[in-house]
Amino acid sequence: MSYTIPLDCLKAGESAQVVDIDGDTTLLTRLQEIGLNVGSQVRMVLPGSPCIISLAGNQFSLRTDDLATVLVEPSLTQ
Amino acid sequence: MSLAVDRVPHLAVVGNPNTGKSTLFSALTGIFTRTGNFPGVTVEMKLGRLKTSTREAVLVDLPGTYSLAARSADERVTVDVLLGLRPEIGSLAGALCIVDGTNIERNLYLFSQVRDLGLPVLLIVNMIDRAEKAGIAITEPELSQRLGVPVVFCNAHDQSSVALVQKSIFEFIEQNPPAAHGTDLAAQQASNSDFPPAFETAVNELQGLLSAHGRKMPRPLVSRLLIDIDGQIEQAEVQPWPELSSHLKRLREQVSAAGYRISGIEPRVRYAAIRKAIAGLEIRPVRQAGQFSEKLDGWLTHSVFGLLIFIFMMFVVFQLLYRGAEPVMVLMETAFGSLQDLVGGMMPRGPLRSLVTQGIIAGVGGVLVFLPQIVLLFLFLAILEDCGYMARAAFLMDRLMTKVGLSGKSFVPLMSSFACAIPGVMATRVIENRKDRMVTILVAPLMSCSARLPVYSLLIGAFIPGVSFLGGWVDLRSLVLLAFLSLGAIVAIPVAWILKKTIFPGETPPFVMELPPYKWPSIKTVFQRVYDRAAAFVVRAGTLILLTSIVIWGLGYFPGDHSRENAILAEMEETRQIFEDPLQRRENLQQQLAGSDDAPPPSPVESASLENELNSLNQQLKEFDALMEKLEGELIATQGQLQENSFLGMAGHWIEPIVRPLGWDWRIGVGVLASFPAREVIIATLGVIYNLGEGMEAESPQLRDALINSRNPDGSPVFTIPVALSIMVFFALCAQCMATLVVVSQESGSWKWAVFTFVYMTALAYVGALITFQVASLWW
Repeated sequence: MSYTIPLDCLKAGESAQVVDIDGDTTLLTRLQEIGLNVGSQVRMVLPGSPCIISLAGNQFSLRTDDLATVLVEPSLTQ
Repeated sequence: MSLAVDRVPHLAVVGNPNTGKSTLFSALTGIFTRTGNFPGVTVEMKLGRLKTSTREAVLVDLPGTYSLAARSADERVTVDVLLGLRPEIGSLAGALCIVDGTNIERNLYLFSQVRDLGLPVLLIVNMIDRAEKAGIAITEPELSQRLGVPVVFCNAHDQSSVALVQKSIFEFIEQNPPAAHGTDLAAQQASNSDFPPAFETAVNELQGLLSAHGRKMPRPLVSRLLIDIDGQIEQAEVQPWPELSSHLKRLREQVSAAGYRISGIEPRVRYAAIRKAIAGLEIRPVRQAGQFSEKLDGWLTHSVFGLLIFIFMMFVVFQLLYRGAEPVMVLMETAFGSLQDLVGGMMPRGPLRSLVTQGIIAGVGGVLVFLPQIVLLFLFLAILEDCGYMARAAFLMDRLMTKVGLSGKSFVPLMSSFACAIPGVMATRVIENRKDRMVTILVAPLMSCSARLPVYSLLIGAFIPGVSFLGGWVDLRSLVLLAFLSLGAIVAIPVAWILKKTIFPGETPPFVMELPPYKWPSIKTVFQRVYDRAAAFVVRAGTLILLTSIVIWGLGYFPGDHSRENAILAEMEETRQIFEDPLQRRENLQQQLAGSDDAPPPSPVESASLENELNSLNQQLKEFDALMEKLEGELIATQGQLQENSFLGMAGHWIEPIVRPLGWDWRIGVGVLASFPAREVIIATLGVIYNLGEGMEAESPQLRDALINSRNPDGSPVFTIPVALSIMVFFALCAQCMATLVVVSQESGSWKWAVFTFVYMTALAYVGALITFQVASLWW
């Protein structure tokens, strides 16, 4: 059982796996460079715009607006 | 530059941001490094020497980056240096790639790009202490064997660890003599590429096309050209050869048809290869490394508390700035005053003495006294940045910046511009989007830099009443000061918004920024940043401001005949010498009567006898006092006339019709005109203009009183509250800084933008001052 939601819909503290990233090429490359790839685990630290996410133990602030959509599958084991 | 084998080997230092790269670089090379110059671009690259008694190497510190994909000319320099294509650096013996031990997997992305350039790489895993605490359990040989390059672990804050790294670097140089990897990277084939064959075929074809067109390009650069869609390399290559666009399009489609979409191919391929290489190693943090940071962030990035804490911190910083620097500034002022007297006393009266004391010492000294404030400001900014707080402030400000169409990335450059617009404009390099970077560069000079401070302190001290409300907690002068410090930033909001709507239209840029874990600031890194900035300020005072001071002095001194002035001055001095003893005695008596910290005021009986003596002395000196008063009157009249007939005076009268609507007289006009090269010159100029000669500084009560007492020909005061406000508004908004304009033209890539900045700010300043004076005149 899994469901897919946009990254910015995650609640504080919720973890998820990235399933799809699409949008502006430059921004996508940038996201992938910081380690936000399909398959990466992310955790929402502070939701909002911009939000703070945790990727492999590092914190990033992020606001992608309409330029990119990051779809994630929240982990159900919490 | 010589490429001889016996040249001191040069090594590039690369790494992601926040990997402790700068700390390690300073630890290895010491703090006195030199900055490399790169014509055409403005990347700052530090060159430092790594030295033992027998061996030597030069380290080239490249800007921190997540990737070699070049989006701007500045980023392109990094790639070119690594490929040995920059003649200023020459060919490299290898690269030191620094990775964060708590985040090896992600950092290896840049490593794999650097390795593919064909350079020998030494991998330095930094922050190994933290990595071990987070539960990472790998060894140097293990990682070295998986990645096929030498690996050394490091904790840049530990001297013995840094010594080991130094040893490894020299071993690495020995194992990779310059001849072994050669300089002809162009011939190198991708033998063990991680990329699919379809991609490599396309790269081969592209390289063939380029060389047929007469463009020899190293193969790694050709790969980057194919990968980086619309990147800097593509833009630079397509410009002289527009057909290249269609070739690139076709080749990219060809790779896509084989099942590998070009957009995103690089991260996919590289991360897959990295994961395969390190599979099974205990390389991911088991425990959360940043739990403390995260808890702290709960407060510091909170949408309400975070902002309150930010405002409070800025308040404290600016308070400390004024109070902390003051004692040192007073000391420096006194020192410059004594220097003037000392040097003046040794020289005969005449133009040369006037030049040295009034031109050089008063001009440069008046500016140098602000060094303590500037050092403190840079110290605070360096600490806030190095401990990781600045990234949080940028996060907080993103919400506000998006309202004018910018992102939080513009915040740090604008914040730094409160110290000085020059590092502020340079700091815009972190903004990837060119349009946003341009808008940020163009509004940065509006922020209230430290050079505006002396003007505000002088005029506020003279014309704003020193009243306070709320039981002494809020004082009117500080409020006015705060208002002027914020004025530029407030005006910048509509300016940025208009620029974003008209000249640089575009979406609100996305915002992606790392929030590094909080840490204690490194003393070395902080010291180095402060040292660099302070040195730049002193050099500026010694060059540009020195030159302007001399020019202004000359324009104010010539072409008049100063013999009458000198005669009066000589007569005053002689008269004073004749009456030296009674004058000295009178001063002593006055001091005794007033009492001091060590000596309390005398008892009534003593006091009466002292006063008697003083009265008889005054009687005795009556003639002297009268003579002196007459001479002083004559002196002021002579000097006033000399000045009005000087070149400066002529210029002043010429511009008077322009500045009259702002409420200024010709003297203020001259002062403002003279301060276009550097606004802090106004203090020195006002000192010269108001005939005060020696000891002219912002805090000097003489200058303040002279401003208050100066009169128009009809007897009305020159300076009123509306005039003072109008001058301050003008200084808040005007682009009176040559150095900033030079940096703006360098960073924007065209002098036209410097002209634009100058014109719009000056127009804004004139209109602002005009409105201020006219409106304020309705009240006062």
